[in-house]
Amino acid sequence: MSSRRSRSRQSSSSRITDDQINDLVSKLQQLLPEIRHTQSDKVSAAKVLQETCNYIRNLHREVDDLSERLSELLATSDTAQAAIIRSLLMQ
Amino acid sequence: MASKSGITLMNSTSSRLRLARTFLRSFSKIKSQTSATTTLSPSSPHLKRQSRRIKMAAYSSMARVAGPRRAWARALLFKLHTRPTHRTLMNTRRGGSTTTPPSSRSDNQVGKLRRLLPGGDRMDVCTLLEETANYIHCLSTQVKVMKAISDHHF
Repeated sequence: MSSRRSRSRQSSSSRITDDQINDLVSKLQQLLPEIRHTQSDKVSAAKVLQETCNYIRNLHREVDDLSERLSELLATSDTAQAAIIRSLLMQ
Repeated sequence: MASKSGITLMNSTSSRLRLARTFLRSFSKIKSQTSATTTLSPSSPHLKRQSRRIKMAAYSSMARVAGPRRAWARALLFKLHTRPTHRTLMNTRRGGSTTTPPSSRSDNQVGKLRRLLPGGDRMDVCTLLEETANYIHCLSTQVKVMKAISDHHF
């Protein structure tokens, strides 16, 4: 299974241009709070990727913490669905 | 299941709301199963199991809202369904470095990203970057939704 997939990956990666990669990297940079406002020519691709990994790890940790917090809250109170959706609309 | 594959362009408000609704549905299901059987006892193994269920619900809602067109969403749902313990969600294929292609200048970082993104070990670099951007967007939305819920409990 994996050998078939890696072969198709190799054939498609030969067609990838530097421009495409640069485009995607700068798109990624826009999503990262740490380096969002830095000029893109001042940040290396490696730096963007590193920050991406850090950011994903942070978000995973946040999901962990929030799951814990929500599990503690589960037994105690009601979910006011309408209020939550309203507050999300206001943001 | 609930999401149509035709929807690829989501503006941030509507995707946030769809995610909120999907997650809240799972959340209240978990809640209804809880209150009937157990009384509150903090730091019990029950609480740990509960938070794991919520975490699974969070990732699964995210993946379902993103839709089956997203490779990370497919990989994530597959992982969630085949591994009910969920413990291995983050660390995929630690030792399986045999098929990793030696290419790209920032190889090290790309490899790390592959390990973090669900299904990332099977993508070419362009797909990996594209899927990562979408994954980050969805994941941060999920965090916002969960924060909103926990804030409203107080």
